[in-house]
Order: sequence, then structure tokens, then C-alpha cells
Amino acid sequence: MPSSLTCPEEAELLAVAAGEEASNELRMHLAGCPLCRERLGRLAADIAMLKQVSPGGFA
Amino acid sequence: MSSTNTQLSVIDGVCRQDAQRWREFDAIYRPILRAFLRNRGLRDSEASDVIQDVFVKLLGKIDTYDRTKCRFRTWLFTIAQRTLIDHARRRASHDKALQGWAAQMLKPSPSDSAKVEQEWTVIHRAKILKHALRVVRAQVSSRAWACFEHRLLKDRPAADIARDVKIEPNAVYVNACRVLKLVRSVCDEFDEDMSHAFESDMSRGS
Repeated sequence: MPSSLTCPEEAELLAVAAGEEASNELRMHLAGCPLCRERLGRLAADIAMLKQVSPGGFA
Repeated sequence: MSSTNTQLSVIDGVCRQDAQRWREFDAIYRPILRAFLRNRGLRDSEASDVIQDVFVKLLGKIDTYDRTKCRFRTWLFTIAQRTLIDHARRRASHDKALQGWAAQMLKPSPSDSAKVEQEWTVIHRAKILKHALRVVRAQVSSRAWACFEHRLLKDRPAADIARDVKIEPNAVYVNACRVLKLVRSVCDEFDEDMSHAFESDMSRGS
């Protein structure tokens, strides 16, 4: 059961996927919410794919 | 999230033989097929001939494509691969010998087939994603694009980007997120999923 019933906005998860430190509240939510863990994993995969296709930026 | 709700996707447009959508399809898929065929060992002129054959077959079969059964990418791969094998057969027949490249094309092992399809997938995904990036960059504000590109592609700190474009650091992620959704949406139009690698990992239970 997630510690907070409200799932975070996508932008908040994107920040974590991009390497920002998650707040304690978000960390606790993620620990109890498989859906948000999946959303986070998907965002991390998206970022990895973007970097792979356009390393160093998009010319 | 997908723009396919409001806009006819390129693939749907081709299915309905929409001329404008066909031109877009040609512009996207001709380079994908050429890259794939060149990787399979064809000379550029041979690749051009095979691409024409693929497009002729595709136009003849497009109304049989059922997106509930498979991805368009997989369906097109099947057509491209069969056309390539037909080409190999013609070449083998002409040479009166099945050896070297032609033999390999005609007698692929299961691991070869998997490797070839993986190669196709990588080319397809990269080309579609690059196309999506071009399309979305033309649609969004320079500020939103800067947030997306500098944070997610160039890995610059959000605080630096926020200072440059004069917004709050959190807004960098809001902008980047909006652009990312648009990129995903364009990829969706081509039945391509940016997070495919993640899905594969999930399906393997890792």
C-alpha cells in the first residue's frame, strides 16, 4: 500500500529518472506503489534511449 | 497521450492510401529499409530495387495488416525479409550456385533470424525516434525544447537550465515532460515504443 495515496506527477518522476534525488515522501510512495515504479523505469528507459540515439544532444 | 486520437496516423493513412501520408511513409521508411538492406550486404543499387519490390508488395497487402495481431514494424519486417529472400533466390539462380551470401540468406539458422530481426528493430527504433525528435522540435517552444534537450539528452543540471531560460528548476521537468510525451506520441504513430527495452526486461521478469 503506497504511503501516499496520490501518485506523483510525471514531471516529478522524470526528475528522479534523470538523476535528481527523490524526496523522502516520494521514496516511500515508490516503495509501496508498483505502478509508479514501473512509470519510473519506463522514464529511465526513455532517457537511456534518447541518449543512445542522440548522444550529446540533437543536431 | 497519443495523437492518433485526433490525427490519422501515418500507418493508418497508408492503409487508406492517403497520398500525403504515403509521401511521409516513403520519406521515413525508405531510409530504414535501405539501412537494413545495406547491413544485409546489398549494394546501394540492389537495395533500391529491393525497396521498390517491398513497397509494391506492401501496397498490395496493406489492407490485410491487422494492428491487433502484430506491430507494424514486425509486419513490415516480414515483408522486407521475404522480399530479400526472393532477391537472394533470383541472384542464386542467376549465379547457378548457392554459396556465400545467397546461401546464408536462404538457409538462416534460428539464431541468425533472431539476430537479423534484432538488427532491424534497432534501426527502426533509432530512425523513428530521430524523426520524432525533428517533428517535435518544430512544434514546441524553444524554451520547452531547451529544457528537454539540455536536461535529458545533454544531462545538464536542471538549475543551470532554469537560470538560462529564466524559469524555476521544477518547471524544467514540466517542460521536458511535455516534450517527452509528444516524442512518445509521434513514435506511437509508427507503432514504435521508445521504452521497448524496458518492456522486454519487464516481460523477462527482471
